[in-house]
Amino acid sequence: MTALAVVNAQTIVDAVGLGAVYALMAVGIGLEFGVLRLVNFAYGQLIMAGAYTLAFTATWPVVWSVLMCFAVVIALSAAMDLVVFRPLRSAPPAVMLVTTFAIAFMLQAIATVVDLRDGQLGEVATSIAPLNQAITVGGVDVRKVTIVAVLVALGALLGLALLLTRTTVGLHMRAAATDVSTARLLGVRANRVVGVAVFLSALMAATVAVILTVQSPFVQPDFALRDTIVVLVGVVVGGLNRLWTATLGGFSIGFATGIINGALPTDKTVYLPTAVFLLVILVLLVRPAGIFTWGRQAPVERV
Amino acid sequence: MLELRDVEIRYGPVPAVRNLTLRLGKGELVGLIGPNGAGKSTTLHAITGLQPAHAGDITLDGRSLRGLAPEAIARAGVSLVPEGRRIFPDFSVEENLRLGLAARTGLRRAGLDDAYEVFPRLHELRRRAGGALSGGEQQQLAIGRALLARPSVLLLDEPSLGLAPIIVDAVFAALGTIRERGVSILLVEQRAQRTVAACERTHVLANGELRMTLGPDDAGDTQKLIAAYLSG
Repeated sequence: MTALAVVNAQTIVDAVGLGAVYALMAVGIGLEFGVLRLVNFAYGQLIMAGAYTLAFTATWPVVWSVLMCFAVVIALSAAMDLVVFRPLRSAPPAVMLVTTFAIAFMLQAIATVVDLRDGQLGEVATSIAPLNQAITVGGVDVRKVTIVAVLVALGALLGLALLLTRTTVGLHMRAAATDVSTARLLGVRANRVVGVAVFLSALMAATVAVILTVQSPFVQPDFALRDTIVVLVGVVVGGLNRLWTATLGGFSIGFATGIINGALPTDKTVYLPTAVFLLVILVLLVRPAGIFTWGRQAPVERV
Repeated sequence: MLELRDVEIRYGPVPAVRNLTLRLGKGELVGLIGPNGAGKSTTLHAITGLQPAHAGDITLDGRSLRGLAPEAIARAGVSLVPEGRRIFPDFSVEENLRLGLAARTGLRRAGLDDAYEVFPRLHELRRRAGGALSGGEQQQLAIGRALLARPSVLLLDEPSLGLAPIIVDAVFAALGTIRERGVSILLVEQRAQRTVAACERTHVLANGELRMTLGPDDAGDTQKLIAAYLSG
């Protein structure tokens, strides 16, 4: 059987599910980049914190557990903005990026310490696992969480599009993302715009935490770390400068990962990251400004 | 009333403006001219909070603006029409104008009529992308956007730059209309003669210092204008 023949309906459904989750992460990362010009490497640790919250509250009713996950992720995200990003807002991008690396590894180290209190690494989020059950549609197994992921991703994107195009705060966010100094001269309150972006981005992180934890309930300190790196790459491949190209980039890399995973023979899945990143390099060689970026391209001047 | 007292502005160790004192009364049109690098734009940037003043004070109706963020100064009633207009090219004309409302406190559902009354053409163009407008139309948009903040002080940084003479006439005519509404205007311009003729008084800035103040009667005195420019 050739590898391509394996790309069946099941693979496509799984790939769309993964693409939807990555698109949500891309929206969160893209929102922060748009307004703060900050590539937040610590985004994955927000998701990890949400996942641990779900694991530690596994004995609670599911609704309370999920609400607590949202509360923790939003609080952590707001703290990150207030304590670190706000004072560093005018610092060079490299300083900001390295700072997010430091935050990421610090949060991971804290998670390890907290997790090891029971002598074992890893916690299981048992209460929301039933969402992982599959229903069969036309011979294809569709996990309930995949349906939730796709619907939530579509809803979040639609809601965000409406917010950005139909509301005053959305207009202010777009203005700040385009030219922050002119926006401020016009009276747009930078802190408020950043606050809304950080809040929305945290909502996405918490949503992704719930979906990923349903899919893989065993939570460890490096939870979502690999996904974040892949999405960051996807966002750059799609085009970091615009939210929708970043989001499409996130979806595409999730979808491509799903398809390649399905196409590879079971004993060859170890080659998945190699294949995905080889594809990324090829795409960036052909379209360095981003696969979905047309028209004005960011000028790059370097030796 | 906007007042600058002994203002000093520096870029690092280099002073760009020294001991600048000027005042702008209610409904006054005051000009600020001078050669390139004289510190005209820098002065406007200090008033709007983009560039901190190193010494001296800048007050609006007795309240100090020094140290306030640009958005707070905009909300206090100072609007800048920046050099190069700085409109948002991908936003529609209407969206660009709505951004002008950002500095308005209270009034949630304010309309855009303040701008359309002064520049009716903007109403016709309201669905067009800002970047698709001509230079003159973009200047109207930038001024209209600033007016929507209902400022008490309007600062204009070279509004006639790159515009055809007939459009420059329209811009200066609009300044008259805006003034009649009680808005004080500080006009930074390269067109010295035109500015001196239009303004109640025009300050000449050279090498960061105030060199002289001219009245409308001096507009015809070319020798005096040349002397003012070369005095640095």
